[in-house]
Amino acid sequence: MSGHSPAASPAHKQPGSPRQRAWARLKRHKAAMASLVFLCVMTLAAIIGPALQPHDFTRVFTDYVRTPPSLTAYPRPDQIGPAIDRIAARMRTKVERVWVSGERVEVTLTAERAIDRRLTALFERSDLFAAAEAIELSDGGRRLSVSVPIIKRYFFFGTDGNGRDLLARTLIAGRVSLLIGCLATAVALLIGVAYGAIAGYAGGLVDGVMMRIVDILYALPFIFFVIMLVVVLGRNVVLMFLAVGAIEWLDMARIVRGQTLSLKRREFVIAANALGVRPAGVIAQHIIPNTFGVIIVYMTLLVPKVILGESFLSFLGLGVQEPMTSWGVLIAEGARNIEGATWLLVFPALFLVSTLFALNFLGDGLRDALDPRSE
Amino acid sequence: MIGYVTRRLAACVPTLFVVVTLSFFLIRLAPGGPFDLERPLDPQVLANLRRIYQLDQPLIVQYGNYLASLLRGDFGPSFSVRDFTVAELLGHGLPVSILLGTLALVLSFGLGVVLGTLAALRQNRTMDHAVMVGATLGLTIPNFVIGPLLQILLALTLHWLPVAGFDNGNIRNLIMPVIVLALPQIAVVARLTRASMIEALRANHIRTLRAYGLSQTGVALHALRGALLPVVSYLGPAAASLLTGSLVVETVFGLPGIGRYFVDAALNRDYTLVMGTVVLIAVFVLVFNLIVDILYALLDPRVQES
Repeated sequence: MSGHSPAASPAHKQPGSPRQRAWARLKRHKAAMASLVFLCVMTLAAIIGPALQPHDFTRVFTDYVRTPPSLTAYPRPDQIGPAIDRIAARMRTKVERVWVSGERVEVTLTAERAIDRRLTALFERSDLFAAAEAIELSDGGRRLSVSVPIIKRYFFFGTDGNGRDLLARTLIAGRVSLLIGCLATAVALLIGVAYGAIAGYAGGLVDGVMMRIVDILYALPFIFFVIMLVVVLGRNVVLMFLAVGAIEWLDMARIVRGQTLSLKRREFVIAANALGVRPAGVIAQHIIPNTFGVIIVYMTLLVPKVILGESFLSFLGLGVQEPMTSWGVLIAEGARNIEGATWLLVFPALFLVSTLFALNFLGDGLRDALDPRSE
Repeated sequence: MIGYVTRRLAACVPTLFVVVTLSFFLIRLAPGGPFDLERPLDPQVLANLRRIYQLDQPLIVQYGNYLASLLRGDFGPSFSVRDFTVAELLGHGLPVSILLGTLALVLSFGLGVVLGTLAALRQNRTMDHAVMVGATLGLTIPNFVIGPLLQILLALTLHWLPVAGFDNGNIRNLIMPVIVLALPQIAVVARLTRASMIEALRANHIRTLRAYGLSQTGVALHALRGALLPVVSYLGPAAASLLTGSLVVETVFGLPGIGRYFVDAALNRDYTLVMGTVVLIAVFVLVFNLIVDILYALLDPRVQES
């Protein structure tokens, strides 16, 4: 909580500015540092991850609906036969012979009438195979041999009920969830810090009225507000979470006001007043910078709160809309499919919980590090 | 003391009034109405419905009427649940929500204080780390993840408990919902207790007690008295949120509480039911904050003076 304030604790004179000492204390906090690294990795994964893996998050693999996660490639040998059968049925042909050899599969099809060679395009439309090459057409066109390359696909996290790659979706969802968390927190911070600092600095009647308003807003149920916002703003997620941020500023305002009340009696603020700095200048240059410590700590706790709030809304079906997705949407989907396809819940939940976990630990570490008494 | 309580009680009235006014106009200004169906109603039928429910009058008149009936304790009829008044709906659901909420409240404060105290007494040792990790997990795992997981584990796999349902308050049906409700609160209470307990254990009078050779338990109990103040102040918001029901818990476990009315009513534009739940929640929040402030004043005489 030291920030810029001079003479935090003259008894413990140590080298470096308060900020450097706080950073040194944070570095000693192993859990917090591990969390910081983890959060950087998670942010990177959300930003560039979707581009690094092969599947688009909206791509539907109709042949791979609810495929369990696996480190080895699909298709499995036992998936090839039925897939060929399906294609043959659509071509109105019978499968005479299937021979899998490594990367390719050779198929011989027979039919009552001559086979239309253009129908081999059906192989390409399947998610298992690439374009088929006809080897020979015999028996008056009623027997067709084709060689079809098999496409190897990896579904490390499995696929969902529509056959979309869960890895791609989890990464994109991370982007949305983190963005929402940061946006809403930024809005909450801007409003809360300004409001709290002004109320605390002004004091008296202004303070009384401003905090009374905060009390009233506290009594309004959060979910009611959000539903009204969804109704009014439509399902525009960015707008909505700017609005969620506009609701979540209440705690921030209270905290900053409390800090301001004690700060404004300090010598350096009185000195600034005496030198004729205008109130706005005092607030911007002396009050707010000195509340940064608390603000940062509160921020790391607000981001998980907002992300959790978003996931709750998505669980209700009020959050992010398809085909866009967020961790909350994925978890809600997973919770509905928990009996047949546990992975649909496990992976998104793991990402969400680990991120929130790291944010909380970082917040705790920062609180300890910024507390000058912990030296 | 009586003067203090009266003053605080009087301060609640304008707050409640503003909350009612704000939510009344918010829900009315939202697009759509309670009779918007997939298939539009016949205009004449719609007009009749609107007249019966007095929706055809100017908004300000409706607002006046609503305030007047609210003062008589009349929440009006529900729009979406036909043949039920809002008071009846809330009256049926509230006991369920209060039962669950009270159990969860007792569990979370009991367990939370014990865990937080243990962690503080063993600061930076295994016990402390275990409690903090557990508390963080409790805070970060959404209840709609924990709920289904518990169902799978305790009901579908081990067959110890029924999967869902209320069964007239059978204790076996209540165990899982109460755990899910209490878990995040246990986490908050444990963290709060730990933080203020660590502070309290550093205080001079506690050091003196140690120097006199008081046992560890004795020291802990003395420190706890002072350390419980911030925990008590959390009791208000916790009680208000637990007792007014949780939509997720009620949906996952199929319980007939009032949590589900929140969202359903707002989405259906069931104006009276929305207002009913908002008023109920606001009253809960105000009353519990008041109770907490009174408790605080009793525990800490300095508060009364200011």
